[in-house]
Amino acid sequence: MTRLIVGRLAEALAALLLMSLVIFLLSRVTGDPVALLLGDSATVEDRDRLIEQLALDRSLWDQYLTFLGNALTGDFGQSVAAGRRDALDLVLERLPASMSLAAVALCFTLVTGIAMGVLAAITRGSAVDIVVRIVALMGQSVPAFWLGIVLIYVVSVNWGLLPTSGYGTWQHYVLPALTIGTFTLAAVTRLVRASMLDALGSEYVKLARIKGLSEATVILKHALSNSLIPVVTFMGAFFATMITGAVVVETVFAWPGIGRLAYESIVSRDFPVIQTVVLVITALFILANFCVDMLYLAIDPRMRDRG
Amino acid sequence: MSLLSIRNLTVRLGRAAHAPAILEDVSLDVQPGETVGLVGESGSGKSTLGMSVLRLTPPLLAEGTSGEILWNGQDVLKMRGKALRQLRGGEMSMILQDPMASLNPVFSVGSQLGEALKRAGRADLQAAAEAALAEVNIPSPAERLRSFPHQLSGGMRQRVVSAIGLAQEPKLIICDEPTTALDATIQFQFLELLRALQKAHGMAMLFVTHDFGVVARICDRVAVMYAGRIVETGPVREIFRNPRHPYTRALLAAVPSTREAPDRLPVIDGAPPSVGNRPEGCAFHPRCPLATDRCRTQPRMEPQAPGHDAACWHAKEVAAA
Amino acid sequence: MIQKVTFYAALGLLAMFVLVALLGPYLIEHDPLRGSLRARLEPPLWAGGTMEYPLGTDRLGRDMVARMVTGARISLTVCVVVIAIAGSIGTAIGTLSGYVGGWLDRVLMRLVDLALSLPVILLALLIGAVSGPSFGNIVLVISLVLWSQYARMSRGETLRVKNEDYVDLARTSGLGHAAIIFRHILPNIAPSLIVVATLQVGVVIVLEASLSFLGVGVPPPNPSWGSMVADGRSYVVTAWWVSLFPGIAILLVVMAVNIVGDTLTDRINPALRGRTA
Repeated sequence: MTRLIVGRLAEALAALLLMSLVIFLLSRVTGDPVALLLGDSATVEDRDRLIEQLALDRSLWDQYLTFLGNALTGDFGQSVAAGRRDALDLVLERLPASMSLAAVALCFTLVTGIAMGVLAAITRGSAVDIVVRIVALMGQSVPAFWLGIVLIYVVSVNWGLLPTSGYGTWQHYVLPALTIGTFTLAAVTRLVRASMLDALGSEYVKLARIKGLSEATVILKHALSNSLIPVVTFMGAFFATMITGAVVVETVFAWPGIGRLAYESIVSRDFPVIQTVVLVITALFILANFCVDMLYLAIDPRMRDRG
Repeated sequence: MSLLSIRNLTVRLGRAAHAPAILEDVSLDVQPGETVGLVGESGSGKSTLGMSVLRLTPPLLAEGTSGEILWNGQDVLKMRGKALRQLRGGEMSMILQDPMASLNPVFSVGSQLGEALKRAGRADLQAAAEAALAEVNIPSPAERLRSFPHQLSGGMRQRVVSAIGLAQEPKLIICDEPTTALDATIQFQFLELLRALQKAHGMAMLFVTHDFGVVARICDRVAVMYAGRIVETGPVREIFRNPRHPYTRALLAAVPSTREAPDRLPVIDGAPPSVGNRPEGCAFHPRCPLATDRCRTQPRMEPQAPGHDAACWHAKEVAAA
Repeated sequence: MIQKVTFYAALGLLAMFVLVALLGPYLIEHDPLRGSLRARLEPPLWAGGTMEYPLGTDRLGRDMVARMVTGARISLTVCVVVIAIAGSIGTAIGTLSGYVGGWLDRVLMRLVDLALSLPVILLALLIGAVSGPSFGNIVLVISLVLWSQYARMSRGETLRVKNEDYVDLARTSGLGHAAIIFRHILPNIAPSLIVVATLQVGVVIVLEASLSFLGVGVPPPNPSWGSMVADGRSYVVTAWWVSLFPGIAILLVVMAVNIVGDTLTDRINPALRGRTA
């Protein structure tokens, strides 16, 4: 088990290194890194300082080591657009808004998705099941950016129920969380429905019934516990969808998170900030995947005895 | 009064009257303490019969179930909620076919056994659980309680399943081919164990199997099933000496003289008809050497000897042969 | 019964989408790229518009019908190119990995895991930021996201097929590795790969639209459904049609693809039902 954890940790580090290499190469190999990292308004002194700082006059390998070294000390360069501010600071101050939105969306998604999946499975073939399946199908097909706009138009503009955009009260969370979670909600629902159906037809559920356990215990303990394993294995993918969604959804709802920061930086061609956002998100992403693996170990006893 | 009395049980694939039937007009009694073998090829409906008694059939079959299953005079098919749960585990229990699949992979042995013991109202769960495992000959029970199913061998798992089945001291235990998935040597051990447990607890047992050899070892009475019907029933010795249905005779001829159990029943020509494809009348007639035109109508169960019934127009000829 | 009807309805919708995309230039009267400034933000026919612009016009007076049709063409092109690239690379890697096995398999599968664990969509933003929006970028980025799924599927399927009797027979009869892979393995794993490809059509359409929405996809003024939604965002209250129609188009096409994909999954590889998140 220790070997398993160490192995996963090594994989996580490798992934992070790979991503840093990709980012590094993108900035060095395509076009002029100085222009990319400094913007148009740079002076000759700025240029010289940057070349010195990033070892741009030396070999690519030296440059990469310098890049890594800087990154390890938290130096990702300065923003081109936002008045030469430290790129990492800019990203870190936007992080809480994104994390809280993702957390709300993930909770909403998991709770609702699992409930809907279980409901559909135990009422298989009924009207409830059909409605759940249609909703899930639509949820998997609707593009998030468009759903967000439609929700703003209908719920906020026409009905005046919730704020159109921005950040602050709980009302601000409702529409963005719904938008960001819709695809994942649909995926969780389908996954839970399918694995619940498998579990409900299994021999161990029969045995639980043979013992005379109540239907609630049979479904919620014996069947659901097994149906959640695939959900956990897909959590990493769900998190990825949420991050991808964050860029789009934060832009639509003017949510002051790192997704919107990434979008703004693209518009203003602020490369240092974009590369920092990407690296930070990659790190988060890898951390999340690692947590998922550990969670998997915790809930599935069969995994614990491997490696 | 019989402990269990199945009356005219028919199980169709759905509610429609013309839906194909897996079981047709099956009647069978089990007395307290008795072991009844239910023998047939796969697809004969024997497992469905076992499942129906505990109301464990999937929804489609449950909808298509008619007849009566009387437990101490009460119809199991009419039971709801709490009464049904009281029946399961407490009164009747079951050992399933596949020990690999019948334990929940995410809970420990102790937790799964504990659930059953708790329902039986045991005070000291730990001690009771250890005793239950010891009774099915599991070494170092305290340790095994902490194990998860994947850490146990097949034979061990089947013992755990048996311990769970017996935990609430049922009056009847249904065994659905409990040895099929086990190695030959372990099969014998397990059968001996079952017989010992049955004696110790004074339970009745309904033993579903395709293997007449197993029936000979542990059953008092036997019912032979073919294509969803019971075609012959009687005391084991009587049936072995004096089979009256050509199908029973063919099955017995297939039992090898060695004690090794065959996996299938190979010697009868042809294959049993699939559900929904059953011939008119006696379903066995296309494979039967004695078949005549008369066999196109369904024969009824007729007494052949005391306690020995068979459904065959040519029962006398079988006896003479 | 209901399932059959929805399946054929979805199939019909997809056929229409493909047909519109293919015949695009012959179907439209107006130039999708150039509008008439006198006809800016004309409403659709039933909301007070004219026959001239049945679905209205956008803020530059460009015909919505022409842009939608051209958008379909762009969507389909991206789908075909991406699936061809990601599919062939992924399949090649997966089949090789499964067929050869050993350390190569371990290395390649680690690579697949790695590819799955990177937020590649953000790479798209990065690439877009470095070199600006272009058709090539979109194809590159989306292929980068999607190849790993083919690799996984084809590896698993190759492992399954590899030990079948007919492959053994081919091997013992002295057939070369390439011949075994192309003649015996690929044809047998193709159905599963087709299921993956079908389900990915929806993913590609949504990804392309999202990237275009963010301005790093199809370069303007080309009408991608995604960038059209973005264009209309600021006018949602006054000119809802600009954002609404392309969004509905995406929803319908993706839903149809998912229905067809699910049905194919059920037929070809039921073990995967609901497992393709």
